[in-house]
Amino acid sequence: MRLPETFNSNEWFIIAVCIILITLSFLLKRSFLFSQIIVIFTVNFFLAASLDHILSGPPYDLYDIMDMPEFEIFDLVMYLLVYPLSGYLFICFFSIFIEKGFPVIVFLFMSTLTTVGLEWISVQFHVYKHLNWTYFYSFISYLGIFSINIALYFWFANENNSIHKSANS
Amino acid sequence: MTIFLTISIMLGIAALLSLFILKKYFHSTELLTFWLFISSMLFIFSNIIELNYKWIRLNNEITVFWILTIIRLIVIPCLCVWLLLIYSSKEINRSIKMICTGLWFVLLIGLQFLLKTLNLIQFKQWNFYFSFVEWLILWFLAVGYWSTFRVLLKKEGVIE
Repeated sequence: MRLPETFNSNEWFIIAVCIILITLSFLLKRSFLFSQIIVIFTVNFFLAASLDHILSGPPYDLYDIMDMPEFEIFDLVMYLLVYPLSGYLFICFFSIFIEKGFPVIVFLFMSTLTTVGLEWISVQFHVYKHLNWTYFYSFISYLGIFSINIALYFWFANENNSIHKSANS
Repeated sequence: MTIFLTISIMLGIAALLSLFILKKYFHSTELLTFWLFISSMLFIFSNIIELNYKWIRLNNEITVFWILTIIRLIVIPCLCVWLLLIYSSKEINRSIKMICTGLWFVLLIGLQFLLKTLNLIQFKQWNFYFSFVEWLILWFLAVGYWSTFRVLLKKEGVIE
């Protein structure tokens, strides 16, 4: 795997984002089983690895990640830390908001718009380089990705209920 | 090329249909997580082998790209889950499990060489040994991930 050609703003940006995400994850109360956290991490790792492979690589080549079109070590850092932690935090915040009666659809659209905004910031730091990609595509993609994460949340809620029921009986 | 794409789609559908059988033996969480993990690893491997080192070069047609994507997304993860089903069975003895492992390697290496024979991919600096090492790494990752995750699921009372 390749090392970055130059260690510049995009690498520092990724490191800063990782620190923020890890800190936030530890600060939030853990409301899922460890196995469920692994599922969240794996699903988001898969979404990142597969979508980036399909969309950013040849033949579509819609965008580049980091300094070069090839796969580099910071791409892997993003797959293993940034995307899974973001997915985990999304589900954590979703569970907090949903318990307070916040409408699902409003939370979904707000998160999607926030993430598109965050993507705009990361483009300024040269983490992504849009070739034939637009923010509208990002909006649609995040909407789909967050919907999958919401489905995971409800699946876990259902599973936790059945575990409690079988433990009580 | 369309015929190969049709075959790979049919293989993909067959693999997805086999999920109904696999669901009887695996917990849905276990099945989903393992499947997605294997598929993710295959995409990472492909990025390293094809994009960075260019040891394998793809025919630059969209059809070829989708054939390989279906294989990585559905067919190979399904083969891995079937192998683990054999490993998890207490009725199957050790020697049969070893034969199945050997067959799994033959199938995956064979698949890569079949794609080369069909001219869908070209080997640049790739040979049998490299192919074996690739699937050996995948085998270690698959077995390691699955056994660790299974222990965790048992500990948390999700599976018995």
